[in-house]
This record gives sequence, structure tokens and C-alpha cells, in this order.
Amino acid sequence: MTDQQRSNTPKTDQIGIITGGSLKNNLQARLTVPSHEVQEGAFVVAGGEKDRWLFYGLITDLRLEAHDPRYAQEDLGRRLSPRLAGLLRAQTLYTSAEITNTLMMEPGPDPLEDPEGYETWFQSVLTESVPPQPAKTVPLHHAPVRLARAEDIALIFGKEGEKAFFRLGDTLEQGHPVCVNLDRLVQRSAGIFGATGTGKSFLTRVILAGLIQHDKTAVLIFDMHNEYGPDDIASDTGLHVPGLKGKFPTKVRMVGLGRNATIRGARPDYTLEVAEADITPEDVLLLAQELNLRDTTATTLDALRASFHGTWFSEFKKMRTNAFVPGDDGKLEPAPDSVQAWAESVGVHGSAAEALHSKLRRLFNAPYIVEQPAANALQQMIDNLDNGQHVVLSFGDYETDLDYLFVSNLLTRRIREVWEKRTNDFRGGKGAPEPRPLVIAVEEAHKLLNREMASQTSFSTIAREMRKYYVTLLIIDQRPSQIYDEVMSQLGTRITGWLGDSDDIAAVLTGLASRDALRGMLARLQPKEEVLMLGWGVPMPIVIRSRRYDNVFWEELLQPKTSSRKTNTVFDGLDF
Amino acid sequence: MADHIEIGRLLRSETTGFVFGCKLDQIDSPSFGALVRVRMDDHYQIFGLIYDIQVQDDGLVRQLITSDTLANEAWLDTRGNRTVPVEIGVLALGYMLDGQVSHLLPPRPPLSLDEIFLCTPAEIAAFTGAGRMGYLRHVLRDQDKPVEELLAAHLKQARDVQSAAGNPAWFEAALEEVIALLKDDYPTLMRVLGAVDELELARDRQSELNGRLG
Amino acid sequence: MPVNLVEIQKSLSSFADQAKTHFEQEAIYLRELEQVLTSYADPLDQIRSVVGREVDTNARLRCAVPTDEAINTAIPVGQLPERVALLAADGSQINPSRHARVPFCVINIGAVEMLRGSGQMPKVYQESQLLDYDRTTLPDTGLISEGRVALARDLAERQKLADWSAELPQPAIAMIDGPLELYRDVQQATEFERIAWQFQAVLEQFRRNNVFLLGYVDKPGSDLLVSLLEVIARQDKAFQSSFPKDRPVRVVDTALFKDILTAPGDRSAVFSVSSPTSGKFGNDQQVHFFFMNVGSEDFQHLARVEVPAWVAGDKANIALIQAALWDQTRIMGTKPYPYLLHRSHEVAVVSLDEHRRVEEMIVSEFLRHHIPVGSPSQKQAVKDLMQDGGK
Ligand SMILES: Nc1ncnc2c1ncn2[C@@H]1O[C@H](COP(=O)(O)OP(=O)(O)OP(=O)(O)O)[C@@H](O)[C@H]1O
Ligand SMILES: [Mg+2]
Repeated sequence: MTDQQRSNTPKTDQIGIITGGSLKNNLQARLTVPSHEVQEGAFVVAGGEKDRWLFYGLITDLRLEAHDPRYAQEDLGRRLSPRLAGLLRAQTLYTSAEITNTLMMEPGPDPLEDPEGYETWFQSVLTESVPPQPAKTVPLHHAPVRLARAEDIALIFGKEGEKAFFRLGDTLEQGHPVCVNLDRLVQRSAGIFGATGTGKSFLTRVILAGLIQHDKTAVLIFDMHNEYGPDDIASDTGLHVPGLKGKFPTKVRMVGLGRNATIRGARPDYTLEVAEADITPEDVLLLAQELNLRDTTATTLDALRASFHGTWFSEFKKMRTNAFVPGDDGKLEPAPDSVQAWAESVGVHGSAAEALHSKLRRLFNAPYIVEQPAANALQQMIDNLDNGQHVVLSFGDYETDLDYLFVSNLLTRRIREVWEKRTNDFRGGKGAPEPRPLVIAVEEAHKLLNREMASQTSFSTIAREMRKYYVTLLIIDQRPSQIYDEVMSQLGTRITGWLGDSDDIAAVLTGLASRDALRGMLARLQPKEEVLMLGWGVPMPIVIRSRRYDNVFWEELLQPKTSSRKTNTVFDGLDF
Repeated sequence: MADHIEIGRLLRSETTGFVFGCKLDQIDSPSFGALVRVRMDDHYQIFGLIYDIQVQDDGLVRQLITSDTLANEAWLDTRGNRTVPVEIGVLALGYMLDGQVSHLLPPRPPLSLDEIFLCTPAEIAAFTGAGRMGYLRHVLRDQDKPVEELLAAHLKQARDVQSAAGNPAWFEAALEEVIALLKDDYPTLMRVLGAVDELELARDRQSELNGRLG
Repeated sequence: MPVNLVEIQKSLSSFADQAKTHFEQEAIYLRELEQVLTSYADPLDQIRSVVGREVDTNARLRCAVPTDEAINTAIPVGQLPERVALLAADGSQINPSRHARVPFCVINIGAVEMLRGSGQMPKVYQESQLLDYDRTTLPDTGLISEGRVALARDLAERQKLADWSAELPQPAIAMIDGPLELYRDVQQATEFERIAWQFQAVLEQFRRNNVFLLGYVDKPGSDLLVSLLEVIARQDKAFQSSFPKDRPVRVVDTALFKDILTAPGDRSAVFSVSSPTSGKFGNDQQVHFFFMNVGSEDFQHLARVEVPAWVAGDKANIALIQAALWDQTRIMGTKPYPYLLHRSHEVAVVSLDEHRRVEEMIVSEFLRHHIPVGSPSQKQAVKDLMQDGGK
């Protein structure tokens, strides 16, 4: 490579030069290309190949500037010929870009001069032995700024097909692949947010498919709307949307709620019934809002547990209400099997107990709650998850919030207990095997993780514990502001589509540096299929166009080694 | 030789420029904005731009003005015989030493009675095409001079020469340099560009005419 | 301050008084002369015999003598012919100086030729002569005197005028600034004789070529007519008694012509001169003169024009000269002076710069030949300094 070529190479994608900035605030660059060639959120690299450091950041603002305001005020096109006006504008009017200074890294060997050295170095970056580090200094004045190339993105976000790197989308301007490290993604709970219709469910499908294919983590999905397991029809396009079950027939177990459950007309792999004995007073308390429970409920439930221990639910269910028998003195007194009688016997307020009983009727009547389930479906689910399989729990016809809350919480509690025990066994040096990491995916997470319930559900416990017990959450929600902020702040990776509500935006960005810049980017995302990734799980925030969940996706995912993705996507979808 | 047109001799000089004189009947050759050179010796020549042409008066000329009817012969006499000097101001732009063009000011100014020549197209192309138009800064430095007119006249001459020499991109590069040098001075720059635009318009009209003539 | 202004101030009022008396006397005397003039305008023969008588008693008499026109005639200017050839010459010199580094003397002659009416560009002649070293440095007096240089210059000027005008198309007029004759205060009479003899040859040359030579005196201070009137007054009984024996104040001819040549372009009668030397170059070359008003309606300006007798003999020649001078002075607008005379002066004059350059040339030539060169005298060095500083 001659000097001439070398100096020309970076020029091709250079968009500007650094003109100012500080470590505490953003960097300023003067663009050398027309403003429309750069967009907010663009991933850029500052620094030359020969510099000590390369700096990575995002464009968060573009400003029209003038060397002298008069050049901007004067309508040059009217005063001068087009050619002169053009030349004058080129030198006196320009765009300045605000760039976050997020990461820095030493440039590696030149890939063209020393391909082997570059490869070794590249691998060491991917394995994080030479990781990009948070920017601790600033680029030189006039350091060239260029749009990130595919290799830059690969350096920072990982290279598709290598290790746990999974492509989640592409950069906006040039469509370079952007990956997430799936291992890292599940190390802490993660959240996918966005207003309705922004593509949360589609992106979740992509991630879940990736996790299943990656095969390091077990996945439990509470599929409230039957979106993930079975095939589906997209509500807006009417297109066929393949479900996970169809693509991973043996790996994915479909579990239906209730003995006779069908999922979109098909029989599940097996069904789940909740044993009455498994229900704890806490499971009920959690439904306080749904069931409109009173303040006295907790006292009553405590008394029930004190009286009947594990069978409290069955016993309580059996009690009669408003049942009176004539007593010895001829007066009517509560029947011995009545709520009232029990209440009197344990000294709780009779009417409170009566009220609770009547409110719990929805549970008493729930067909999937039985005294003796036909099979131990819970155990089977745990076994499945142990064996490298994944479970999609379909709620079938039980689509109310009550069902969803009750079942998902109860199951999660049970499963977490199991994982906690295993973890303790593993750590206790009893020769127990390491538990398989588990990700629990929940839609409409705010219903489980809102401020009122956060203290009580196992979900919030999981979120707070991070990976201590090998269980993390993948929460999917359109109202992040309603999720308890303590939970929000525990989320390692946040992937968010467009949000309209400023509270939601603020919630997604809680606890992050450069919030102001990110807020603007978030508000200006495309309404569909563009997301901002941020948080601990990604090296730096970035806006991407979501990977399309379609046939191409599945082809690429299922035969990744043979048909490695071409950079030239012109022929994608064409059949040769 | 036709391409070495002597147009006068040096009257006085300083580092940034010089003044030469020519007789009234020589005045047709040098024109405002033309590039000239002074040959100092075989190795060293100085280049400059004509920025001022002054036809001096003197007592007699002033006296002749008062005459009711100026005799034709007296008019011819003044034009042809009298040493009423035409003083031509030249802005030093650079020099050529041993064939190397420099756009720095000449290290030594020219001396009295040195001959001044109009530059040939080849010399114009060589001088204006060398380096990165550094000499333009000399033109723009002195705001007492009619900078915009001067630049426009020079750019026209150099543009025509450079285009003919197969370098049409020169003009745009020169304009970029002018803008770069003057962008801190909005009023001057706009005046300069306005004057340059006049050139452009004139050329457009010319090429339109040529087009019409086939 | 080198001048004591206080002392001067003290004498001012007496000075002004004297001037006032002078002008009063002049006016009175002028009136008396005018009376003589009016009564003697016409009887020309009578006047001539009066002059003849006077010459007999006063050999040094210099006065005007009328020819064939009344003394108080005014003749308007006529049409200039379509073509007339004009040549004017002037000279200047660098005088040798004791203060210079080398003794040298340069005579410079310039002339401009105009073929009036031709539409052609005038032609410029120029000749410079470095005077021989042997003529510049003389055994007895040292450096040649300025007077002799001037005389040589005047002669050269006339000689060149004659040479360069030889081929002029007819009619042709050649002119110099000042009187035609050479008046120089020359120490050696023999030298002057030699020069006068040469001058005569020059005069003859003009005549041979039929080129009308004239001398143009711009601000004439002459009193030839005054002298004539005085001669008459002293001989005429009518005036004798009252007329003063001696001239009380100086009065010049122009004062008399002021009221005669009233219209612009007018010329006076042509006079000859009676003087001890007037017949020196033969009758044909004897100097004649007339006055002319070259001014405008608002501003009278009188010049005196001298011509040789052979030119004056034909009034048509005089008319041509009058018209030509009128034309020449018109060219100069508000400062009526013949254009060509001004131009020839311009060509001839040696600037200080040129003066220095010549000196430098000579000095370097001397140095090349190892001829000793003096340093400029201290006085010259100081002068040079002042000149440089004053620039
Ligand atoms: N990655 C993707 N691949 C293909 N299509 C997508 C993708 N993301 C979004 N879409 C399109 O956008 C529509 C809405 O997406 P999706 O159903 O995932 O939105 P959502 O955020 O889950 O909305 P809601 O909150 O209402 O559930 C889909 O029907 C699909 O057509
Ligand atoms: Mg959805």
C-alpha cells in the first residue's frame, strides 16, 4: 500500500473532524459532508489509524452553523450564481455534530498490511482480553471522524457467528451488522420496551430464537397472547409468522394451562394444572388489586395458614359461606364447616373472612387449579429446562390478567426456589452440577413489576438478584414507567423502540450517563423496527434497525455456518 | 519577439510592489489586472499584478485643459512626445528563482529602469498554477486597493489561460482559496464574489453568443 | 530667524510711501508721453528725421523708429492659413562648477516642430553636447564663465533652429524665446566678435531658406518707444518747456501700448530700432519689432515680437506671424505663451537628476582611466544633503 492510497482510504468514509468537546460533555465535530448524509444515532469513530486511540461514540445532535452569521442570513443563492453560492456555502456554512465520547480503544494492526496480526488482535478484542474501555481521554483536535465501518462495529459489538455474538440488527446509515453477546445479555435481567406496534414481540422472537439456537440458556416463556410458541398471523400485515415450536419442534415444549387446553386448536405437549397445595397466601396477596382485596386480607390469610398449613387453600375452598345451623340454645349459629365458624374459632373477623372467601371464588372456580393434578407438570417443566429444552407456557383461553399474574408468579416462585436450592447445592461443594441458566420471558411486565407488587413478586426478587441463582428475566413492556424503578435500574440490557410518553422515556433511561442525548434519540426513532440498545449488556448505546424476523432470518439462523451472511444484501430473498 | 512585450521601465520599488513608467503611447499594452514580470537576471524574475494605472498630469497638461479648442497637433504631441509618464503600480506576487516559482514576496525588489514585460500565457499558467495559490493573499492584503476589481480582472485572465492550457479546474480552486482567505471579512468577500460573478455572467453571455453562431 | 522682522517693520511705511509717489509720477509722465504720441502718430518722415538728428548728437541712442505704419496703429489678427510649418527651439546648460567633482559643461538644445493643420504628430529634436575639456578649463580664468556658456548656448540654439528648420515646407516660421540678438556681457571682445560673425551666418541661413525667424519676448521691459517719444518731445518746441529734461521714473513701452492694442490679437505698428549695433548684420537682418496683445477680452497680455528686416519688409509675412502666434498662444489657454516655445523649453531643460547622472557618468569614466576626481566641495556636499532631506 502506498502512502497515497493509505491517506486516501480513511477519507472515503470520513465525515468530519473533531473541533472541540470535553470528557464530561460531548465531543464536537465539524462535518465535511452535507448534513443529510449523517443522522442522529449514527455510530462514529474519531481518530486516525496512526493515533494512539480510536474513540467510539454516537451522533446525538446536528447543528447548522455559519462561519459568520451573515453567510447564513443572506440568501446567497439570490445574490450569487449557483456555482459561486455553492463554493461559498461549502466554506462558510457547515454542520456541526455532537458526538458522545463513549469508548476508546487502541487501534489494532492494519488489516491489509498484517492480516494475521489483525485477526489475532481482533479475536483478543472479542474475547475481551483487550476490551474497548470507557473513554478516559479525548481525541486530538482535528482527529478525523468517520462513520463506523463493519469492522469497527464488529470490534465493539462482536462479530456475527463468533462466540455468543448474535446479530440483532444493523446500523442505520450503512447497515453494518450489530450484535449482542447472548451470554452477557442473560447475565442480568433485560428489558424490551416500546410503544405498541414498535416491534417488541418480533424482536423478542428474534432474541429467543437466538438464545434457543445458542443453546447455553434455558428459556421459559409466559406466552400470554400465544405469540411465541405457535405460528401466528401478523395483525398488521396478515403475513404468516412462524412460532418457536415450529422451528424447534423438539427443543421447545408447549405447555397449555388446564387439562383440556388447546393452543390455536392444537394440543400442547402437555398441560399444566396448579395443585391447590402449591398456592401460598402470598400468591393470593399478589392479586390484591385484581381481586380488590381488603387490608384485612393478610390477617385472614395468616390465620388460614396457621390453621391448615399447606392445605389452607383446599380447606378454605371447601368451607361454606352464609351457612347457619340452629345451636343448642336454638339460636342460629354458624355451621361448623362454614367460614364464619372457622373465623370465630381462630378469632378473625367473620365478615372479613367471608369477603375473602367470596373474592377468592374466581380462583376456587379456576379449572386449572385442582386438588390433585393428573401429572406433575411443574416437575416436568423443570426437567425440560434442565435437559436443554425450553418451555412456552400458553395461557390458552385463560387470558385475564388474574390468570396471568397468578400462574406466572406462582410458577416463577416455584422454579426460582428450585434454582436457588440447586445453586446452594452447587456452591455448597456437594458435587451438585452447575444449574443451567434460565431466562424467564414475561410480556406486560408492568403488571408483575409495578410499584405496589414489586416487593411481593418473585420477579422483582429475580431482577434484584441478577444472576445469583442462575435465573434472569426478559421483560417485555410498553409502559416502562409503570415498572418499579428499582427493578428498572437493575436491568442490564435495555432495548427500546419508539416511546411517546416522556415518563416512559425517562424510565428507560434511568441510571444512564448521557441521558439527555439519548432521550432525543429515543424520541426520534422510527415508529417501527428501530431500537436503541443501551445499558450494561452492550458496550455502548447504539441505534439499530431491528433484524427482520422472516424466512431469511430462520434460514440464516438454522444453517449459519454454510450460508454466512453476505455483506451485499442485494440478492437476499432472490432464489438462484 | 512578439511574446516578450516590454511595457516600460521601473521607476521605484519596494518589497510589496513597484511602480513603473511607460510612455503615453505605450499604454495600450498593460492593462489593469494583468500579470507582469521583471527580469532581474537569468535566474531571477519577479512577478506582479498591475493594480493601478495612473496617467500623471503636469503643468502643461493642466494648462492645455484651459484652452478652448485644443489643437489637434498639440494633442498628438502630448500623447506621443511628451514624457508625461504613465505610472503603473504593480503588486508583487512572487518570484521565480532558477525555474522555481515561489509565492512569497521577492527577496529583492527590482531596481530602477529594470524592464517590465507582460507575461505570456505560458508564464501566467506557470505562475498561477504553481503551489496552492498562495499569491492570492498578496492581492487581498491591501484593502486600499480596489481588491474586488483587481481579483476579478486577474481571475479572468488566469482562468482563460488555465482553461486553454487544459486546466479548467484551476478557476474553482482559486475561488475556494479566495473564499478561504476572505471569509472573515464578509463585506469584502461579498464584493469580490460579486465582481467575479460579473465575469461569469460575461462568459456565459459570450458562450451563448458563440453557441448561436455555431 | 535670520531676518529681523522688527527692523523691516519699521521701514515699511516709508517704503510704501515711496512706491505711492513712484506710481503717481509714472502716471503723470505717461500722460505727457501719450500727448506726444497722439500728436506725432502720423508724420513718419518727420519723426525719422528727428531721430536722425538726435543720432548725430547722441551716438549711444537706442530707440524705436517707425517704418510705414502710424505709431498708434492697431492691426487685428487675421486668419491662419490652412498649413503653416512652425519650429521652436530652446537651449539650456549645465554650468561648470568649482564645487563639482569634475569640471564639465553641457549644452542641451531642444526643438519641437509642428506642421500646423497637417494633423501630424509634432516632431521633437534634441541635441546635447559635452563641451570639450579644453574649452571648459581655461589656462587663465580657470573654468569657463557662465556668461560664455550662455552665449555659446544661445548661438547653438539659433544654429540648431536654422538647421532643423531648413527643410520645413513653406510657409515656415522659426522661433526662439527672447530677443533675436545676442547680448552678452563677455569679457573678451574678440570672442564675441567671433560669435557674432557666426550668428550672422545663421541669420543668413534663415533668409536663404525663407524661414521667418522671430524672437518672442513674453514680458517685454523695453522702452524703445518711450525713448523715441522723449527724443521727439525734447526737440519739439511745443513740449520742450514742460517736458522734463531727465526721465523722472522708468516707464516701459507696454504702458503706452496698453490703450492702443485693446482687442485680443491686435498687433502694433512694426518698428525698426536705431542703435549703435543695429546695422551690424546688414540692413536686411536689422531687427524689427512689434507688440501684440495675446491676451483675452478680460485680460490683456502684451508680447513683443522681433523679426529680421527681410521678414518685416512684407506685411503679409507679419500677418502670418501674427496669426501663427495668436494660434500658438491660444493653445495654452489661460496662460498665453506660444505652445511650441513652451515645449521646446521642456525638451531642452536639464533636470537635476540628469545633471547628477551626467556627473556620475563622467566620474566613472575618469575613474576607469585613473584620472583624479575631486571630492565635492563641502559646500556642495551640504547642499546635496539639504536637497535629499528636503525631498
Ligand atoms: N423485526 C421485525 N421483523 C419483521 N416485522 C416486524 C419486526 N418488528 C416489527 N415488525 C412489524 O411490526 C408489527 C408490530 O410488531 P410487534 O407486534 O412486535 O409490536 P409490539 O411492540 O409487540 O406491539 P404490542 O405492544 O402491541 O404487542 C409486526 O406485526 C410486524 O409486521
Ligand atoms: Mg407485542
